[in-house]
Amino acid sequence: MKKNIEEFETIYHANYEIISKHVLIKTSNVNDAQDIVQDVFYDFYKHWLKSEKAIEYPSAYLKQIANHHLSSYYHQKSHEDSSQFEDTNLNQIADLHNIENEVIDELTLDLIFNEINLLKEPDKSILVARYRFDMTFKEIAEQFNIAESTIKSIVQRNLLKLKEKFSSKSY
Amino acid sequence: MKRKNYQFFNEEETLKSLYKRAHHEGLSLDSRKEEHFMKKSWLKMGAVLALAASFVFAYTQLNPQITENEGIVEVISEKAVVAYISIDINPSFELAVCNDDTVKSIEQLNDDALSIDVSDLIGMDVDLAIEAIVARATEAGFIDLEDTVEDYVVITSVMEDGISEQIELQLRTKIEERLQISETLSSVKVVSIKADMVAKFEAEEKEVPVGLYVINGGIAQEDGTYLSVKEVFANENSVNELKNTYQINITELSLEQLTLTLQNWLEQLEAAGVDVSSYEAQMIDADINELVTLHDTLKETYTDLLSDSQLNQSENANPEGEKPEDAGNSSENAGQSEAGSSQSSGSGKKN
Repeated sequence: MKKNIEEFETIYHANYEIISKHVLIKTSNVNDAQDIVQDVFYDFYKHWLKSEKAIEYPSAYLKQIANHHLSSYYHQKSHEDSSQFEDTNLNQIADLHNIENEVIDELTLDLIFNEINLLKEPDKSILVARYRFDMTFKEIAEQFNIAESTIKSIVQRNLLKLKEKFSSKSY
Repeated sequence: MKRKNYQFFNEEETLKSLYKRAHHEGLSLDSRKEEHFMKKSWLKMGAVLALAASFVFAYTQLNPQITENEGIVEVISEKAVVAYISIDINPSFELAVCNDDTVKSIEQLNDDALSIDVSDLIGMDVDLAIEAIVARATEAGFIDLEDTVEDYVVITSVMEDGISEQIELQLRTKIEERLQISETLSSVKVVSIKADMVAKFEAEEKEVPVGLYVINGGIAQEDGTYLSVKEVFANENSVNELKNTYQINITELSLEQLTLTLQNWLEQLEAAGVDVSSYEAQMIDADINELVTLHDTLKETYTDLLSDSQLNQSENANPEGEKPEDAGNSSENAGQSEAGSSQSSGSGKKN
């Protein structure tokens, strides 16, 4: 069967977001997740090249390739204790929505992501999940198995740092 | 915030890196053309051999035979296999299904499955075969009739590549209709999953039933084993993830079945002298969710209620504190009839 690269790219673009999100959630590490996503799609590409017939369920197949890579990843990494998170003060979370809007309106996306890139895990993964994949706080809490209030606290703390940092600069 | 050029998980950059890597490793669409031309000369020779083989094949198909090797029962016929239906309870079976929705072969995938005779199900309509297997697993004790709330039967369907949607729909409809009308199948929760040949091949490589492989997300535990059906479905997060990944449908127990289970327990409690009037009152006009809540409550307290009742009875019978020989025997009996004790080895229930 004649292969058309557009067919592969259609599958790639249709599944990139969901696979990336899945891998990020499972690894809680942006850098590792990006590497794994690259490997997943590369393995899929090799399979697609060699396959004589059309791949009937590419999404499910991609998910399985991802899970294989994650399985190997888990064997190499130890699970982080979620008790590393500080206790949250719910009163501080009240203005999170306003702070988010303020920061996002005032700063460019590139600036925000540049700053996120400097963060340590798990803050980095949580903010990427929020601002790259547009996940709700509830979704992030469920997927990362962390209390929603903790997620909000982490996001708020980092946004406030951003706000403070750029309020004294011109951009 | 939707755009393609994020700093993190940049779609375009990842694609460029992929092509660079492929080029570096010598993989490209052009290299495949060489492989294709090399295959052509072999195709001519293959065609001649195929013609000769087809005469032999046609002759043998006029005389269908039933063969039986350990764990695989099948009939050799001209009917093509269009799908594989995996039934995981534990035990686990895989049915090869023909284009007329009849069973061509059944593979018994573990030792527990070997203990159940399925030879008479060959040639039967697949929906009836599924029903029969579940019924026989129940008789053998693998499904606890006294409490089926936590019992799941996973039915995984895998269509052969290239099968038309019409055939797939026909098969699926047949099975779904049987799930609705069968008393046996409505006594347990049935999980229907659609998987593909890739999952089937991977499961075979790992020597795991495809249904079990799929519900574990293809990931084994640290010791190399896979979570059982019951263990997977006891975890709500696992269930949600399955729903997000596969086309999955879970039937619920009927109101009648749940009511029957609860009535059975209350009868046993009443016979032991426990006042069950409050529980009976809760059952009146209760909907399925309320019954499930009552089921869970009763399951937790069943043993305590029984023990308290028997203790009270023995105190009343021996007011001066003499050693209650009968109470000891009653406690033993209570342990044997404990509600929800689906783990009891005596009944042969496995996970």
